[in-house]
Amino acid sequence: MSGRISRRTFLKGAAVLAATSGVSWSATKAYRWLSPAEAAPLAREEKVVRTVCSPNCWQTCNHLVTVREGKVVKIAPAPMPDPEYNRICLRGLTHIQRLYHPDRLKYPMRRIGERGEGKWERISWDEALDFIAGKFKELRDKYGPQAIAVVHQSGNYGLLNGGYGGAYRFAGVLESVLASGSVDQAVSIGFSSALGTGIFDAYCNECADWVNARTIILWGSACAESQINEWHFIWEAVEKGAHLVVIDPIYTTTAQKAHTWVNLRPGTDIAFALGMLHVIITRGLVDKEFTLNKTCAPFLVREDNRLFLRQGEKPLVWDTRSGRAVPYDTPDIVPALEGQFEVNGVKCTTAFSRLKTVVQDYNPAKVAEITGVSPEVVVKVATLLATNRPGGIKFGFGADRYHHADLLGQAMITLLGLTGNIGKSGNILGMFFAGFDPMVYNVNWLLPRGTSPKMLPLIQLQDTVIRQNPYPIKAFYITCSNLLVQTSDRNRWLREVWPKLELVVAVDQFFNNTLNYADIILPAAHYYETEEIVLSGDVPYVLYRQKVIEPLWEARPDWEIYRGIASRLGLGQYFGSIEEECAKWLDMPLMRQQGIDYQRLKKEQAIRFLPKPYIPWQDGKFKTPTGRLEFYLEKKVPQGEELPVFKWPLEAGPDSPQAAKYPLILITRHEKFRVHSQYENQPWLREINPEPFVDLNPQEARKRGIGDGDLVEVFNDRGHVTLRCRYNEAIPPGVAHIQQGWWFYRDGHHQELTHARYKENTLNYSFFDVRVEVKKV
Amino acid sequence: MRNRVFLLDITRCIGCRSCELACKSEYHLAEGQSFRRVYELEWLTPEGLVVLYLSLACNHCEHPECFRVCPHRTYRKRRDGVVIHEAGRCDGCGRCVQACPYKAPQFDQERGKVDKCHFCYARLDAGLLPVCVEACPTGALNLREGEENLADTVDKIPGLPDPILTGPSLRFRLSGRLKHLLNRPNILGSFL
Repeated sequence: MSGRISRRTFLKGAAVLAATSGVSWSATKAYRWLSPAEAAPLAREEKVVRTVCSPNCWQTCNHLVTVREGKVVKIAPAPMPDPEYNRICLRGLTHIQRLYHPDRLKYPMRRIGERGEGKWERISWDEALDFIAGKFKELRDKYGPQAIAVVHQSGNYGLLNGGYGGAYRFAGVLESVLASGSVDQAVSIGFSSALGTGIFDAYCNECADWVNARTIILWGSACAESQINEWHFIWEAVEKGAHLVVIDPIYTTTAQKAHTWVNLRPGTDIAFALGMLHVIITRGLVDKEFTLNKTCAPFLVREDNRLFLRQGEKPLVWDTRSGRAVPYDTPDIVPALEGQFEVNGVKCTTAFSRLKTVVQDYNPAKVAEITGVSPEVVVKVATLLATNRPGGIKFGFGADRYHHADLLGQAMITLLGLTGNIGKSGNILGMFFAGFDPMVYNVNWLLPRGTSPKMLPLIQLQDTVIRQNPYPIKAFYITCSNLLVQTSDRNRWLREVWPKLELVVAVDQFFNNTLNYADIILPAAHYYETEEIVLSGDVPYVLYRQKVIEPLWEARPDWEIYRGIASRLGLGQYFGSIEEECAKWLDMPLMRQQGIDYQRLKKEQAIRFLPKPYIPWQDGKFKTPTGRLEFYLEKKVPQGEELPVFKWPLEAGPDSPQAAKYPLILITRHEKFRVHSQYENQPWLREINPEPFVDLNPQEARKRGIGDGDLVEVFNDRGHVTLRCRYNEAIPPGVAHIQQGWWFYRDGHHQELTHARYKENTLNYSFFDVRVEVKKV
Repeated sequence: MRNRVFLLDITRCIGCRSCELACKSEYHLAEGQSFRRVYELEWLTPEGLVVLYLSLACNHCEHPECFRVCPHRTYRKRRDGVVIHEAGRCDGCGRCVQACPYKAPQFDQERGKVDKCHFCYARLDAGLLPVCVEACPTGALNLREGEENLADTVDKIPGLPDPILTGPSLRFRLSGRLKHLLNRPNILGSFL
């Protein structure tokens, strides 16, 4: 089956569904597939259902969906408890087409041709589930439970049917491998380490508080496209006088709105951050009060092993009053921020002094040399963050796509700490993400007693299968993931990983470019077709998804599929009813305290669980062992990365051995037309974004004799992709840009060009740390 | 008559096209039909690339050209200013499509008739906002009613027809760099 859709076919298919309408002005369009929803309710059977859209923009918009005579006819934003969180976007507005798309998977199917050949036969759910369970049993008996890998990504934030809920339970029950993560986590690993939190905890002020910021730095964030509904908070701050800085090599819509656009070279973000630290430290812009009392800056670091000098567990500081080293929390002391001291024969310096040494080479002139940004800009941005307070840094995941992105995260949190931009209204700490914080993310529910998945970072899955070590993986169960489009080194998947797999099960709604290579495909229910709790993204609410319509054709919610397979293996008891499981999930202290249970949630649908406004760290106590902001990371001493240092990325730097052969850096960023690979085939969206392009600066294109609109091949040693070139002045010379998430190309795929090399401590995909060349075909 | 205008805050607009999609979704529009369109205009200046997003629909003009040229009296203007196209009378002659300086009426190949934005008048009558305005995630697209509210707005953008021609119910708010740039005459050329 082809993945290409024809809009003409779609409309014909749609006409079959046409409902007749004889009412008022909408009558003119009654020949079409459905008549429009009226402002005033009609006599016909019509209801409005509130539900949640939950792909990985993590904006978790609540929708009011009008259902007329059993069909969804209208989508509108639902009122939230705080109206500033009322939201919808162009993607969410296309769900009608997604539900009734003629290409939607309708039945379970079994491959009858070769993998990738596209020959399928329809089978019944019983046949499919019997087959999967039978094969799982065979593999488990032969190789052990870890012969199966449940592979999930972020396609859905639903509790039961999404990647971060039910999939855990399923893998745990099977004791299989659970391959997940490895995306969007490097910057946050560096950032959150200093706070002592998890990488996706609620460590940032809620978005509604961002309007109080006076300096906003969007770092590698195309917020105005990728998280459209966070933009108005930022813009409100700007209208109140805030200065907006956007750090991005590409002149995105977001960058267009900035007062200061920092157009640095790709992959040089850390150098820019070190330059800012240099300016802040050398020009005396440090918030001394905060730095001394709330951070690890005064802690004494031993010169011999670069670890904190301790008494028992407690790091020591140099008390200038008594002239000796004392535990950092001793009352009535005046600790030294800087200096070299000798304590019992051990030479020590303060963490702050070490930081000063690290950044001393990164004066604005040197930073300008590395980043291509003028020295004045370094000084300006640093000065703004330190003096035009409150301020903050919102990171997107553009700068996260390089090998050493964790160091950038470390530098960002150090910048915020040194400037005292933490714990106050108007501060922005990276990103606001509420749903995965331990206070609302019920791990006991995910993994009930007696269940235990073997967690495997997704980026290690290729190696694991190829080497069959540490797990003898023979089968994939892929859900909430378009794996071959959203992970790197596609050729390696297909040439080296796939042949080792005896069974690939994929659950999805469309024939995307992963399903082509599956053995059994199962049609998943759409967001509107299930009932469950939804993990909140960047909103401070517990959310309830109401079922709007029954699943179309034979689609089933993931949760029911899990139950179907597990019960055939005698493990069905772990997959209770929606009611039971959602009630158990909410059994958390924070929910009990606030009287939030499933009955109440079903009634109110969105309940605020965080204080208003939510501003963490107001007490200046962090979740680190010392309670201080520990920007000095002892655990990274062996790598020499206890403090942020600048390192060129793997490929994207000028020092790369690939640089001569492949002069262009490939950036595959998020644009507004999709959320990752979701919505790729929605006709309305394809009308405004019809086909993939490689965007080149005209200067680069002309150098290669490429005209605007020419068919080109983008290639490197790993693979290639063929598509049209588009002249684009917003792309700097030296960069090739392709929107991420396209399912199909004329030939090849952009994920053939990317690699799966990772840094041990982040295990993160470096999607932009990639070099390519472009030629006309 | 109520003076109701679309007010587009150009500095706020991020060109996300939610307004366009909201309209398509509400009225289940066919391929190629968009009663509201977001124009993405770029030009290179000595200071660098400038990009501007203009979300335009029918402007429900005071003196609508569509109304004037239609031989079948397909168009009517409500007392509140909303210009309505009665598709029943339309034979698809396309004169309005040619005449409208804003390219608001659009020919529907499938039906052989013209159609256009109706200002969501059924919603207006029910006290609701048009769907494009309701869906706007940035507050860039608004309605304004009454003269006194328009002091901070402009009615001209280079590249758009002179408002004196038809009296469109359309105003813009501009600030910062864009305001400065758009003061230059003819900077955009004609893009419609």
